[in-house]
Amino acid sequence: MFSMISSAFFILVIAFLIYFSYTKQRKADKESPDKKQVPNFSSWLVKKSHSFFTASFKEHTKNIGRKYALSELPITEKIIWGGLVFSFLSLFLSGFFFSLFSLRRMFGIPLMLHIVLGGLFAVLLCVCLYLSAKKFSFSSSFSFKNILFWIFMLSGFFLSGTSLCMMLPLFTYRTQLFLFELHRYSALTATLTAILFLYTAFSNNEKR
Amino acid sequence: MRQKSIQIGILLFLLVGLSQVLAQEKEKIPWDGNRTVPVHNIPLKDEFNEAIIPTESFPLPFSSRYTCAPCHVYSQVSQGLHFNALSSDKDGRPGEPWIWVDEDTGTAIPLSYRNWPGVFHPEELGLTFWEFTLLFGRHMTGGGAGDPAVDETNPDSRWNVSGTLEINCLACHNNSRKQSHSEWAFQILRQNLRWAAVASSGLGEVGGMASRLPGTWDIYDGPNPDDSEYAIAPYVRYDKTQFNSKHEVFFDINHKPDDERCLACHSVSPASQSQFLAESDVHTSVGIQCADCHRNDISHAMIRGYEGESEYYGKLPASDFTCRGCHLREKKSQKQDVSSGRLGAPYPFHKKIPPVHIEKLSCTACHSGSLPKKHLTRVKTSRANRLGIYGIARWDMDFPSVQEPVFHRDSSGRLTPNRLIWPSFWGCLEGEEISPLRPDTVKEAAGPILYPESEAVEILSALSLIPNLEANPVFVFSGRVYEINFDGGLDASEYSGEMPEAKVFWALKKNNSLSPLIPEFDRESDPLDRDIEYRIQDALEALNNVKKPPYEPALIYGNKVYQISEGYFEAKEWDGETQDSPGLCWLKDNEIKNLISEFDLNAIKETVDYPEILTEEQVKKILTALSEADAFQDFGTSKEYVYISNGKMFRINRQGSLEASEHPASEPVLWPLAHQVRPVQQSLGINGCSDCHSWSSAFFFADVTGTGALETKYSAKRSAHSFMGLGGLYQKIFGLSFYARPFLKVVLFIAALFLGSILIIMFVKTLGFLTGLLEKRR
Repeated sequence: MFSMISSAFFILVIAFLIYFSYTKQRKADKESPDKKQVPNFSSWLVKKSHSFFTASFKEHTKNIGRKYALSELPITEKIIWGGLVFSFLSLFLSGFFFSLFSLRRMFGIPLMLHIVLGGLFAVLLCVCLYLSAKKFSFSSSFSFKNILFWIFMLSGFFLSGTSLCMMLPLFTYRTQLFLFELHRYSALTATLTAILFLYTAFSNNEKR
Repeated sequence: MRQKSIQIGILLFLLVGLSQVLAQEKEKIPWDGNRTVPVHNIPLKDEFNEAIIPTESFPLPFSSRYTCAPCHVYSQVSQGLHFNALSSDKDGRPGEPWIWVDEDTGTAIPLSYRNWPGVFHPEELGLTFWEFTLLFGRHMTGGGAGDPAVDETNPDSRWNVSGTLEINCLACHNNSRKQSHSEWAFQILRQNLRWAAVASSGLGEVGGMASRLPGTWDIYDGPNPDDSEYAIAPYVRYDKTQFNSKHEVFFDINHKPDDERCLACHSVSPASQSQFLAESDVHTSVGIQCADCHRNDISHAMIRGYEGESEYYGKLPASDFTCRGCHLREKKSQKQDVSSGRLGAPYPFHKKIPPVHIEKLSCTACHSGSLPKKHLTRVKTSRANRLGIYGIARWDMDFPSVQEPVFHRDSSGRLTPNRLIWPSFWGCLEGEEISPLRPDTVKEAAGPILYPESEAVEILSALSLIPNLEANPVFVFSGRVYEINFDGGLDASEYSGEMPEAKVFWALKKNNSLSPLIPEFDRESDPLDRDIEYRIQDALEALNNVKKPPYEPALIYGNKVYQISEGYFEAKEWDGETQDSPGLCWLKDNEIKNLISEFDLNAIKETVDYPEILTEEQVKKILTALSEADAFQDFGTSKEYVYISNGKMFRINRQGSLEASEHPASEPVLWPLAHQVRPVQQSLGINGCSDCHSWSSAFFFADVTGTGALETKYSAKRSAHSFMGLGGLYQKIFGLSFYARPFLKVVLFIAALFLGSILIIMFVKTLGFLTGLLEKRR
C-alpha cells in the first residue's frame, strides 16, 4: 500500500513540477498557445533532459550556488548542510529502495547504515534548524518555501520521534506497526517536501 | 441407437456416482448438539464380526473394525492423520520421523512413508509392512502399515499367525487408568498383533506368544495341544466383571483423549533433566488438553496447528488453531477471518519487540522448546528413544541423539525452532547416490567386529563361576573398572585406587573395593599356598570354559608359568618375558596373548558407558569386511561401502586409511518443534535484545556438532546461524551495534525534544501572528 501511495505521489509531484516548469517557460518566452502543445512539450522535455548531462547544467548549478552564496558559507556550515543532504539522501535511498523495489523490508548492512545515518540526520537537522529557524520564520516572510521548510522540520521531528519510540520498551506490537507506518509516511512527506523545496529554491525566477 | 445407449450409460454412471456420494454422506452422523460422551455399553465383536462371549473357553480378541463400526466408520477413521501415512498424498510439514535404531551396528536411520526431506522411505531399505510393524508397532496406533490389505502382505510376513494391527481406538480414547502402553509394546514384541488392543486396554489378560508358533498356525487352530510350555498360542481371558449379562462391556471412553494417551507416544524431555524439574507446557498448566487444540472430527484428520496447514487440509479451520490464530487475531486472508481467543487465549502485546520479529520469527522461536545454549540440548523422544515402556528390562535408549533447538526457515520463510538428528547408517555409494544398508546385512558381514565387549563378557562370566568367590570379577583398564551388567554387557566406573602395573588388572569387586583376582604370592614355595593354588586352578579352569579359546589359559608370574595340563595343575619355568605380578593370559607354544585383544580393549575403552558405539578402527574393519563380503557378488562395479555418522561420510581411501568427507546424506534431518511452550518469563528476549543480538549469543552462534554412533574427531561442526541462512559476521557486527543503541536513543531523544520545542514555539508564534496577538516585527 505504502509503495503504491509513495510511487503515485512521486510521479505526481515530479510530473507537476515538469509541467509547471514547462508552462512557466512558455510564459517567460511569451509563446502563444497553439495546437502543437504536445510536440512542443516533448521537445522541451528532451532538451531539458539533455541539459542535465551537459556542461550547461553544471554551469547553471554553479550559478545557483553563487547566487545563493553557498561558497560564502563558513566551512562548518558547509559541512553541516552537506552532511544533512548526504544523510537525508542516504536515508531516502536505503528506505525507499526497499519499500519500492523489494518484497523484503530493509535488512542487513543497509539497515544498520540507515539506523546510524538516522542518528546523524537527527543531530544535523537540529543544528540546521538552529541556524535557519529565524531565516525561515513566518515573521520574516510567509512564503511557500518557508512553509515547506517547516513541514520538512515537522517530518524530521516525526522521523526521529518514531525511531526513538520504536526502540523504547513501551509500545505494543500494533502501536509499533502504527509507529512504523508513521515513520514511513513522515519520510515520504519529508522527501516530497525536500523536492518541492529544492525546486522552489533553485528555480530560475526564485528570488532569495 | 448407439447415441441412445451412450446416453443411458452416462445416466447409469451418474446414478451410481450419486448413490455412492449419498452413501458416503449417510455415513457421516451429524452431531446432535449433546456435549456429553455417551455411555459405551457395547457388545464386543471379533475380526469375523461375530459377537464375543467372554465365558467361552477360547474367545477371540475384539476387533475395533467391527466393535466400533456400528457408530464409527473404520474406513473414515483410517484416513486420519495417525493412520494415513501410506495412503495420503499430502505430506504436510515435516514431523518426527520413525528412526530405525540398531545399537549393534550404530544405525539410526530416519524413515517415513511421508515424503519429508532427508528421510528414507522404508522400501528403500527393503522394509516390509510386517518388519515396519514389528520395529515401530510399539509406538503405533495401529492401522496403516500395521493393517495392510491382503494384496500388500509379503511372503516373509506372519500376518496369518499374528493377525493385523488394526487401529486401536482405545490407545487414545480409553479413559481407564488400566490402559497400558507397555502392555501394547510387549504384545507387539511377541507378535500378538491382534491381541495387543485387548491386552493394553485392561479388558482381559493375554498369554502366549505368536512369535513362537509355526508359520502355519492359524487362529482357527486354537490352543496348541502339543506344547503348554513354550509355543503357547496366544489367548485372551476377558475380565468377566466388566461384562453385563448381555455380554456387553463398559468401555470408559473419552471423546477427547486424555493427555496421558497422547504423551505415551509424544513425550519429549531433556535427556539430562530430573523428573521433578520437568516443566509442563504452559497450555497444559492452565488446564488445556492436547486435544483442545489438536482437534479432529470423525475423519480423524487431526489439526497439527502449524501455519499453512489449512492449505493442505482445506476443509479444516486449521488457521484458527495456530498460535497466531488463537493469540494474534491475524486473518489468513481478507475474506477469511479467524476465530481468535479460543480457550481464553490472551492477546500478547509484545512490548519492546520490533515488529520484524513477529513477521520473521515463528511464535515457537521465542516461546517453545529448550532455550538456546552454547551447545544444543539433547532431548529424548518417546518414539526415537523408546520411552514409556516399562518392564523387567529397560526399553529406553540413549541412542539416537535428538537435539534442539536449531532455527530453520519454514515454508513461509519464518525462523522456526527445530529438532534434529544426524543420521548414522552404513551404505553403498554408487556415483553420488548412497543406498542405505540394513543392519542385518552389516551384522552378517562384520560379525564379531561389532561386539568388542563379548570377549570380555565371556571371560568375566567364566570367572564369576569360580567357587566361593563372594565377589564380582572385574577388570581394570585405562583408569576404569569394567564389570558385567544385567543386560549382558559391560558397565564402567572410574577407578580411584592406585593404578596397577599390569595393563589389564583382573580383580574382584566387593562393596566397591577391589582386590586382585590372583593376589601376589611366594612363587618359590613348594608346594604353593593351598588357597592360592586353588584360586589359580579355579581361574584357569574357568577360562578353559570360555568358548573357542584360541590358546590355553595360563598364569605367568616372574619366571614361572602355571597351567592346567591334561587335568593337572602344574608350574613350569618360564623362559619368556617375566612378569612382576601374576597375570592371566592365553598361551600357546610360548606365545602370549592377552585375555582380551588390543582391538577389543581399545573399543571397550572408547565406547563402554559413552554414547558412542563404534570406534574408527571398527568402522575401518567393518568397511573392509563389507567389501570383502561383496567382492565376489559384484565384481567390477564401482560401488564403495561407506558409513554415515556424525555429519560426515566415512570411507577407506586409496592409502587404506579412514577418510571423512561431506555428503548430502550425512546432513542432519530436521523437523519443527512446537512444545513445550514456555511461560512468558522464560521466553527468548525477555532479558532484552542481547538474548539474541550479541557477539556470541547462543541463538545465532550455538555450536552444532555432528553426533552419532562413532567416536571420532572428524564430527561436522556448524554454527547455529548456518541453519538460518544468515551470515555470521553480519550478526556479530549487528550484535555489537546494540552497545551503541543507548547512545543513539539519547541522541534521538535530545533531537526530538529540540525539534519538538522549536516547532511548538514556531507554531505558537505563527498562531500569534495569524490571530494578530503578536505584531510583525520588520
